[in-house]
Amino acid sequence: MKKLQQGLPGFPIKPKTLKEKIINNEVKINGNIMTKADIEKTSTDIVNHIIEESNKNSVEKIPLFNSSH
Amino acid sequence: MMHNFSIMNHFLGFGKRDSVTGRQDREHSVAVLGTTRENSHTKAEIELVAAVAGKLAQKDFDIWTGGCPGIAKSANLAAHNVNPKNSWAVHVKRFLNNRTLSVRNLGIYNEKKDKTGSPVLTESGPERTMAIVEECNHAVIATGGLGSAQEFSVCAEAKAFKSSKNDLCIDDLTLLNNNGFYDNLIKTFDTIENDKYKLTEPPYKGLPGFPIKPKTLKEKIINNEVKINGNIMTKADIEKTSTGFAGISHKT
Repeated sequence: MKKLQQGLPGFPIKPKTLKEKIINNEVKINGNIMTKADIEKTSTDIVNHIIEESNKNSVEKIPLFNSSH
Repeated sequence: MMHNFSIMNHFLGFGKRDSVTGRQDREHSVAVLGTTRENSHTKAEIELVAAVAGKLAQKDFDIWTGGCPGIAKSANLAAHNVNPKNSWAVHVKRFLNNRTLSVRNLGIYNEKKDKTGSPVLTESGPERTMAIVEECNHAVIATGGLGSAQEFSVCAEAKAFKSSKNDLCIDDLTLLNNNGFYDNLIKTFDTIENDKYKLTEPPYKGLPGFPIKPKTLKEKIINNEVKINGNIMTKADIEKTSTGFAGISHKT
């Protein structure tokens, strides 16, 4: 029997594959034909991804309310 | 008030730099891993990681590498050129003075130091990878040789087996899959998950009198590949195959 998925009612969460669990940003490139413009765009995309993840994780770690007050 | 500044700093990408070690927090540290080779095949990736490292350093992210030529040097140099405080490396002790595996002489990065202030020198590649993982929550892994495969595998294992927030791993892993370099490795994930092994060919064995051909990378690493089909193995197959292992210790 398959394990029940947790999530909001009506929005079942699809189980992640091993690939999805490990690689959360696969960037497919062809180094042989990359132009300067491709490098500029791809590097910006990667940087934006990392900053977005960093912000997401940082906010998750910072308690918004201090329960002692 | 300080708390609000803390949130704002995180959004602006400033992080929390340790005043003693000089290092950013893990959330603002990025490992850049990949080939040591600098040739036409790796040119685009080297330029790409330099662009990534430079832009991240401008946002005050620290860049961490193994202090090697190629991808690592390119990333360290780009970060160093923005601000030397953003460029870091961890060494494998035996590679330290090997110019093909270390660019320590260039002075383009800070070295991770222990509590006594001495540089952290690891004993092996996997140990170095974990020393970098301790510092970073993000990684960009480019293509490369066995070292890069090791770095990817160490990061993958740490992430796959993470069971609590205290288990350190790279939570955010960007894989530069150049020309499908990592496709087969990714396919292996499916094989692992689906538990479908379809290996049918017998292992290669040389015959007396035949010249020994140069070993492939696979042959150099795996000296006893036992191909089985678990779906149709009988008790007799298990008995015969397991007996084969017992003979290994008698080889000279």
